[in-house]
Amino acid sequence: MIKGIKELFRYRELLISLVIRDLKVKYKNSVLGYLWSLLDPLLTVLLFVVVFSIIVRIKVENYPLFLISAVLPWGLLQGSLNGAVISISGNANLVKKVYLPREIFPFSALLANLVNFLLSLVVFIPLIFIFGVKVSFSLLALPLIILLELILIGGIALLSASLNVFFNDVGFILKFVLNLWFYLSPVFYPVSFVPERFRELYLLNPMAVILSLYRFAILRMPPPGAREIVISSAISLSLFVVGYLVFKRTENEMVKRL
Amino acid sequence: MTMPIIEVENLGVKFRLFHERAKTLKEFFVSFLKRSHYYEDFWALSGVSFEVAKGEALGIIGENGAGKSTLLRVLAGIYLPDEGRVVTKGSISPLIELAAGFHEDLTGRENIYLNGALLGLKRREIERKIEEIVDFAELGGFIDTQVKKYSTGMLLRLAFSTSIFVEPDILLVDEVLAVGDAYFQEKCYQKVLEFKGNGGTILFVSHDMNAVRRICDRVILLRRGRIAAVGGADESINAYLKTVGSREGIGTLRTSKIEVVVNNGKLFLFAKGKELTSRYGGHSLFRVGSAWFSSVNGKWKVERNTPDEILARGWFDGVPTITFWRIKLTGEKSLRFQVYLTPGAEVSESHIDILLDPSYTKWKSEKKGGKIPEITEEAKDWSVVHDSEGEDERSFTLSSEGEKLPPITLKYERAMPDLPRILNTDYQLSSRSLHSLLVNPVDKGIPKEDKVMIFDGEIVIGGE
Repeated sequence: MIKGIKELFRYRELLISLVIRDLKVKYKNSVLGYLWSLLDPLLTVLLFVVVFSIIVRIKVENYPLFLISAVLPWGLLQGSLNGAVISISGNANLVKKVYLPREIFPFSALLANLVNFLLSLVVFIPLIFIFGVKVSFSLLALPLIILLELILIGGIALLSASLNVFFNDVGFILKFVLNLWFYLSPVFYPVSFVPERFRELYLLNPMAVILSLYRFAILRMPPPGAREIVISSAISLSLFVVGYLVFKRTENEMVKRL
Repeated sequence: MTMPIIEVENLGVKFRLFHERAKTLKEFFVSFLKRSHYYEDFWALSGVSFEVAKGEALGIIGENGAGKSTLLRVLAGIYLPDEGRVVTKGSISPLIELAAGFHEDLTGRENIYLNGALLGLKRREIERKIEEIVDFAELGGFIDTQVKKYSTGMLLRLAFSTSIFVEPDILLVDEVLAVGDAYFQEKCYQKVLEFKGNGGTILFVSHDMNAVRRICDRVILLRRGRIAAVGGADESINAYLKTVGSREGIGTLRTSKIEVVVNNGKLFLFAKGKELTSRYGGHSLFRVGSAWFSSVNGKWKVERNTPDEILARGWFDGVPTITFWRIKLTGEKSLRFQVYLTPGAEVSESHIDILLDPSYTKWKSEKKGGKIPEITEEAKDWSVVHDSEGEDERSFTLSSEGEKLPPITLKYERAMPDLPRILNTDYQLSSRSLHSLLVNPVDKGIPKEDKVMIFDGEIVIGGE
């Protein structure tokens, strides 16, 4: 694994080029270009505000800000995984014809989404403070939280990219899982809405802990307990290791199958 | 002997062929539970061993599916060996399908950066080379245009330029020089030869035997994943010409001086291990309506192959006309070549072309003679060297400077109404042609049982 990471480091320029390619291609033919990556979460937030604040009437203070602090990280997860699952099969042309460490493809999908995510954070975070949330040192934890989310996404990205080469239905399964996962994660409701007796089980979902951490960092909401953080970090890390090993084990067969 | 830069030892590569591909999880689980074998292993390469020294150009030839591209991919690190080992020293740039890394929405310049990175270049290195790359590709003002607006030729030029300027230790070339116009092709050859001249090592895969001869010192012939022949370019290429294509359509005649190979509608002549013919060698064509049917594209079956005679039958889907070839040895250095057609379709014209090596530079008929002009890059069409119409000539000889190849004489046994010519082909084929044409061949030919003889000539190799 160390060897693999070293090799990946040697190919960092290519990784960057691929990320730039993905971003350029994504926005090249659209009039609004990069603005889309801001508009998209905004529209989602608007929709949720209408549905959950006006129709369902969830009582949460500062609901739009509460939403945006989770919609953005959720978008990072969803966008990355949707990109990663087809990253190998979609780049078959390249994979079959040039040698590269293949994990570059899911990773570049992930990084392209990360760049988008960071750019929207840069725009939204100041907005949050303008709307009356005080700046605090908890914001300094943000890079670590992002890293934790990236590890979680990375493992699933590798796993789904690899399996998708062998089975076409991995894409459909992923779509279903993401849907389910969305409702099981505290995006449009706070963790406190989950009944006490289920909460321990609920917080085994690493995304529940990660989203709570984002809210802690940005909105100064109470953080999840240390135990939960350790458990979800452990789950994310093991998922990453499993994903990486599966990816590497199947790599040769994967290339031949394309 | 310098240290080998590539060592391949007992290499085997296996593919899993699925009878019914378990494309979905359901199918996978069903067949898993049933424990039925829904796949079979196919060895694309097996027991392949060879070495390449630094500065050497090794050709790899063989039919489609022989394992050539698989071999290059293993060397490029794309496939791992399932058996044996491969050791390479130094950087490798695969030219395996040039435009693989191109994205149509990006501009030429952006694609150069992307492709350079794919081939392992640092951004700074690309910046240093980009002018050269753009110059070589002759893209001029189009470099900042999206490549989807490029013509195919422009795209290929850009792709080749990007790959060659990476300057690796080992260059893998897979059938890429067969692209672009003749002018740019030649420029690419020069660049590849220059690379070799500077001590670079080349692995060259191609179906173009002239290109292989030109570039390679040594050639490997692959057949169904195994090495069928290794040797000098001539040796391996001859072995290739003798065996490529459907087994059924191959026949051979041999004397102590010459070898005659009929291979699926192509007639090849060899003397002292050298091929005298070129490209498709001897072949016959006929026209029905506006469509030409070349023996090269037909299906062939050798019906008889005795030590001194081959009888072959060739047919096409959709045309009732059947072509027969009869080749008979008439001496140590001579053979008789006859072509028959069966009546059936309205055949309006027929050609017999014997394509010969371009090192034949002099011609002689019974009445005249002269030098054959060189075929230049500008030659888009075939051109006439000697037209024998109205001369009543029966015998034509081509010879080469300093007897590089033995002279070859074609004597028409029977004067068919439309008489023969000596032609130069276009630059693409770069061959001399002993050519004869017959209008309404079925009416003018000589009836023989149920067929009509449209060509009857004796070929003598090495002079009288």
